[in-house]
Amino acid sequence: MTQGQGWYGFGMDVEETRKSVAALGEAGRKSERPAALGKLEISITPPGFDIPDKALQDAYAGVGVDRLILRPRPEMDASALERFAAETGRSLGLAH
Amino acid sequence: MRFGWLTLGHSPSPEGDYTAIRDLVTEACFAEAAGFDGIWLTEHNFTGESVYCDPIPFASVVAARTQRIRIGFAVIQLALRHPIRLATELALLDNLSDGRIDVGVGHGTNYNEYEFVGYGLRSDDSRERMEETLEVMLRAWTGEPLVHQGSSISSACPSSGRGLGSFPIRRSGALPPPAARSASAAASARP
Repeated sequence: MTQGQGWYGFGMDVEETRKSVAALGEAGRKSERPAALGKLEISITPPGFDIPDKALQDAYAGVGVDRLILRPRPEMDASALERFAAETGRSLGLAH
Repeated sequence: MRFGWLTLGHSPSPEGDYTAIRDLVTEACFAEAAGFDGIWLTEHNFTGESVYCDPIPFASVVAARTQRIRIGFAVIQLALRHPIRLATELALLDNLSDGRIDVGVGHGTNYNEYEFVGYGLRSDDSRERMEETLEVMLRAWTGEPLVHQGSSISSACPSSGRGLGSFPIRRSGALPPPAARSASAAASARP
């Protein structure tokens, strides 16, 4: 809260994330966050490897998440990763 | 909502390391082409779980092969690092990447005791080492004279008035790279 621009949680579902964000809020009330750091940015890697649909994205956003950091399945080879990138980019509506 | 891409970087055998490392660079290029906001690099030592082990030199190659995507660390294991060396390496990387790095830090995972032992450490004081390392690293970027005598780190750096490394991309604000703390449980959320 006093040193970083953000906070990252690995393998957290929405409920775990909600608890962590609440704990961060509680920590923030007990500390003085320098204004130069801005709003604490929350990044989460969800459990598993599935790409979150819109409802799940909205659920994470609803508990305060700013960024979802997704992971491809570890067994993917280079060509599978290229397909994953393109398909995921399209399904998430990422800007090129 | 923004979206990042986490590299796993596993290599099952030493024979596969060469190819795996190059494939991971290509993976970062795929993530950029697909429009992801950032590529996030892990740190795991000795087992091939993260084939590049140290994500900082790996990130310098990713920076050279990409143009737009941010390059994050999820996360650098601070308890294994000396803060002055880390401050200088990250400052150089910030310059090389045109200010595209996000410095995620953690104390390391206590499940992987062998990582601490490999560096001549143990995990029992890893959280305290992380706090001290982070404090000294952030101070090293300020340009203020740095004299630190702590429980695990001592350092006295000459005052050059410019900090250990410079940040031309954000010179007007004199801000170092963005930093983020990591956790895997709500209990880790603390000031």
